[in-house]
This record gives sequence, structure tokens and C-alpha cells, in this order.
Amino acid sequence: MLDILSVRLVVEIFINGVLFGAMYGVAAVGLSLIFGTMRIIFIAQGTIIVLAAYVVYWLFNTFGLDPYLSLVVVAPLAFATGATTYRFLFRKAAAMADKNTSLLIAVGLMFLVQNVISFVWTPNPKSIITSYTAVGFEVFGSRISVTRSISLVIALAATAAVVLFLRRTLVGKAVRAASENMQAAMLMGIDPHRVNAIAFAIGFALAGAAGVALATTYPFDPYYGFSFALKALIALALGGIGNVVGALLGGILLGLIESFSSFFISAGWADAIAYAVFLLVLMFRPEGLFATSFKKA
Amino acid sequence: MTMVLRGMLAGLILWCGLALGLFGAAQAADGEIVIGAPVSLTGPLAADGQEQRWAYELAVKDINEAGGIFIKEAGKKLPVRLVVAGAIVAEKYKKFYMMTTCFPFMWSPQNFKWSALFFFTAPSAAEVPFKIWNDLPEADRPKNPALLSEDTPDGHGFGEGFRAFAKQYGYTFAVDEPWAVGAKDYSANILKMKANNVDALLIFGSPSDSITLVRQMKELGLSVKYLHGWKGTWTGEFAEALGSDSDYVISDGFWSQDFPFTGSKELGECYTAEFHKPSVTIGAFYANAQVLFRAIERVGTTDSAAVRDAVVGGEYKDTVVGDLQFNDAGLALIESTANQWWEKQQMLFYPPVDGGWQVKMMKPWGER
Repeated sequence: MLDILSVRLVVEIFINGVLFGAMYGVAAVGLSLIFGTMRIIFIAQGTIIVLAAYVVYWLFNTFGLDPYLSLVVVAPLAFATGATTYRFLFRKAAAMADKNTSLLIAVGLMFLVQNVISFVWTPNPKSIITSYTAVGFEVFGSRISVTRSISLVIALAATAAVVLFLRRTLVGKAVRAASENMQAAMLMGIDPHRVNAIAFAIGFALAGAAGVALATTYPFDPYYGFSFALKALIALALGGIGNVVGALLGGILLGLIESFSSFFISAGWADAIAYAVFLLVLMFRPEGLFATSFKKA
Repeated sequence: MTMVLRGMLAGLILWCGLALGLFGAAQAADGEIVIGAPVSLTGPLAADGQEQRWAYELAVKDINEAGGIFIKEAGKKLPVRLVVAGAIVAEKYKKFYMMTTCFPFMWSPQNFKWSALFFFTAPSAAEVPFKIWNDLPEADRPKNPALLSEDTPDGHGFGEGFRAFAKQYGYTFAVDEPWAVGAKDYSANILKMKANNVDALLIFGSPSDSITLVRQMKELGLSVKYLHGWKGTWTGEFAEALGSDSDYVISDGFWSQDFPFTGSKELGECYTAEFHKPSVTIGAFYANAQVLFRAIERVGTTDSAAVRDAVVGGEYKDTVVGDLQFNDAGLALIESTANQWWEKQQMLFYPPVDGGWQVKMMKPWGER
């Protein structure tokens, strides 16, 4: 192995890890927000991302809408869908002390969406071909994917927007307050259903952004969402549950772990190593690796 | 090979024997022949199931348009009705189950009494690339081949086969890696292959993973002369998702419309006209129905035991997969095919046919 190793190769492994990890990160940010107020792991997040990818695919094939331009349609649509989903599916369950009901609803929603996608678009993998599909460019001798680079930009921009929203707006501060202590927030007059609905809406909008990134970069099928959600969950744990910036960094860290372990050990071990790190972090630093570096957004 | 078995297993159960047994000749006189087909129509295997159902429905349509199948007890031809079912209960109820696309090494040890199978063996499929390489001009033969096999029982099984034949044919894999299912990021595999100057690649993985890999190979600038895939490169979606980037990629298959057998070309054209993509599987399913229908006609009854006896040890000539000779255990062997994608068409080049396609070495991405 060492005879083929070079600085350029290590840099390429690093870059690819960061680019791919950003995808996990943006999904984890959505999970983080919903967990913050609802106190559930929204396991359907990955499937919502896949659904958004199918909408992008449909807009592209039906109206010829460029996948990146479709963000202006998909993100607001996902936002509205998130709020509606909360209103009709989770509102009653959210008021219950037992969070298992909400979790079960999320599981049911995941399978429902999977099967609806499979019925509407068939279970065959889909992908979008544009002029920038599978195109790479060179930076100091390292090949970098165009679409994955744009995905990184989307992830950073989406996370920054969420952080700004949470820190700079009154509604965002209410969401943060509810995330810190729902009882205290309610005593201050914050409507728990409103903040839950906003968290869901933003979580779905982030799924919309991730869906655009997914659709432009990878082929997708109805069943990919679950494994994606599991990876986002690892990213969330690495970054610190409830920590928005940490979730993005957790995703990038997971991407790096997978990338380096795939190269230096074996691709077959990458998942095992990722889950082992997940457990180790939960065992020894359950608040996440970035808890002290970043205040809760 | 569990996944392959589950994914590809296709068969037709002859149910009519039960109906006749229960309801007697009156049922046969104005009845129909009911064929059950366990097909995956939902879930991750539904893509395979859809091709199976299409081929079976076409076979039933064709036989019914020809008047049906002559049944002696009924004294006339009876129409066939297909019931797409979801369970395999043939052995329990002693119903004859005509099968294809199941590896014999999984089927044979079961010692099924009520089924017959035609398909190729896993080792024969794993040997195909090495036979192809041996027939290439010396300059085109791989020097540094690599193997990426899905990290599943299927992948491990095929991987063992590829390794064994590589050794037998004098090749050494420069990179031999398990391939993480659904991982989406194969940059580490690709960088490793680049670093090892890999010039040929054998892959065994799902359609989605195969598409992702080829895309990322292009993004990261890994060009090989020969890329041969199993399981994931034969679907129409592969070429659809990659466009011209799928050109030169080689896929496995169970059948080809380029076969010189009666009805092969028409069957392929019929499928392509409806779905706007080629198929390298439907012929196996169609032939499955052909064998079953001919067996019923041969014995003139829908009695499961009689139909089974007509298939086991029997010879069925000129099906869309060619002549089928079943041995005493009910097994007939066919050959795995190799097809090269070219302008979204699957060009058969193995087994070779007269005037058929000649395999092309892949051009580097930058020269396409």
C-alpha cells in the first residue's frame, strides 16, 4: 500500500471524503432540528430526501427544469409538505409524553413513501443526465467532481441559512428555546405545535436541498432512503444531537472515516468502522464530538 | 448467491391439476389452464419481477392466440390463464413448478420432486470473462485487472469464482475489493485502482451501485480498457442513467435477441417497442413458458406428474433460448451471455454468433 501512497492521493481521499460527507451532513442537520423540538429520530428523513430527488427528476424530465434551478421549487414545496405532514400526522402524537408513537409514525411514513415512489416511478434506479453529470475538474493534479462540489456548497449554504434563521429570527429563537426546554418555552408563551411544525418544515426543506444534491450526483431508487437516514443518524451522533453545525461537521467526519477506511483498510470494513465509531462516540462522548466547539445553534 | 436467487428466481406453477382433480372432467371441458407465477412486484426485486411478468403474459397471449393448449380430457384446446402469485408451494401441494434463473447449485441439493430448471451454473458464468480475454489479441489482454464484488453472499460467491478462474487462466487481480452495497461513494476504490494502474475491471453489484461506480470513474478519471459487470449492468436503466457513458460496458445476461433462435429477434423487438429499452432476461422467462406449454401439449393433460415426466429427461427444441435437454434430475443448462452496450443497445458477443458483434476495447474518457 505504501508504495502507491502519495500526498496527492491522500489529498484526493480527503477531498472525496469531505464532499461525500457533506451529503450526510445536510441530512443530519434536518434530523437535528426535528429531534430538537420533537425528541424523536425522524427515521423517514432519508426517504424524504429520496422523494425530493424524484420530484427533481420529474421536473427535469417533464419541464426540462435544470436540477439546480429546481431548488427554488423543491425547497418551498418540501417546506410546505413538512408543515402539513406535522399538522396531519404528528400533531396528536407530539402532545403525548411517550415518543414511541411519533417514532412509529415516522417509520410508517418511511415505508409508505417508499412504496408510493416505487408505484409511481417504478422501483428501477433513476438518474439525471445533464451537461455537468459525471464531469470532473483538476486542482493541483487532483480530480474533483463538479456535482459533488456543488453539493458541498448546497450543504454549507443550507446549514448557514438554518443557523442564521435560528440565531437571528424570533421564530428561530423560539425553536431554539423549545429545543432547550419545551416546558419552559411553553411557559413563555411559545406554541409547541408551531415550533414543531417549523422544525418539520425546515427539516423537509433541507431534505429538498439534499434531494437536489442527490439527484444531480447519484442514481437513486425508492429504497435508498433508509440506509441514508442511518448514516445521517451516525453523523448526528458524531456532531452532537441537537447541534446543527455539529451535525454538518459530523457528516463530513463520517465521510472522511468512510473514505480513509475504504482506502487504507477495505471498502468492506467502511460501514463496520463507521458504526463502531458511532458506538464509541455514544459511549465516551454522548454529547457529540463538537459539543464544546460550537454552541447549540 | 441468495440475492441472485431471490432476485432472479422465476417459475411457473401448474395449478390446473388441482382444479381438475377436484372438479373432474366437467371442469376440464369448459375450463382453462391456470398457471401460477411467483413474481416480485413490489420491493427491491420488483424490477426483475416486472420483466418476468411481461414475458409470461406475452407467452400466455401468444399461446391463447394460437387457440390454447390441447388437453385430451377436454377434447379441445383450452386457454391459459396466468395468475401472478407470491409464494412457492409447489412441493407441498405436488404441483409442477417450471423454473429458470435459479443457480443449479442452490436448486439441486433440494432434490425437488416437482420442479425442473434450466439456467447456467455460477462457475460457468464466472469463467466467461476469462474466455473472452483469452480470445482477445495479445495487446488487448488485461495486464492489471481488478475485481469489485458486492459485499453480499452473492458477491462473495461470484468473487470466489472469479478468483479461481483468474488463477486458472493466469491472471492476478491488482485490486480485489469487496464493494459496499449502496455506499454511493466509491472514490476510495477508484483511487486505489488508479494508483495500481488497473486496466480491466470485473464488477458484481446492483444496478444503482454499478451506475454510481461508472459515473465516479469518469469524474475521477479512471479509464479501463475492459469493464464487465454482473447483476447491475444489464438493466435498461443502466444505459438510460449513463447515456453514452454506458458504451463499451459489458453486461451479463440470460438471453439475447441476437440469438439465432426462432422468435428471439421478434421477442426482443416486441419488448423494446413497449419499453424503449432492450432486455437480456425476458427470453429466459418466455422460454420457461414455452417449455411448460409444450410439455402440457405433449402429454395432453394438465396432470402435474405427467407434465413433470414430460419435462424431466425431455428435449425441447427451438425455444427462444435454443434447444433444451433436461437431464434425469430435471436440469437443463444454458450459457451465460456477454453483451456490450452500444448506443443503448445490448450487443451480444458471447457466445459468439455468425456475423455477430465484435467486442470493442473501451476508449479513455477523454477520447470519447
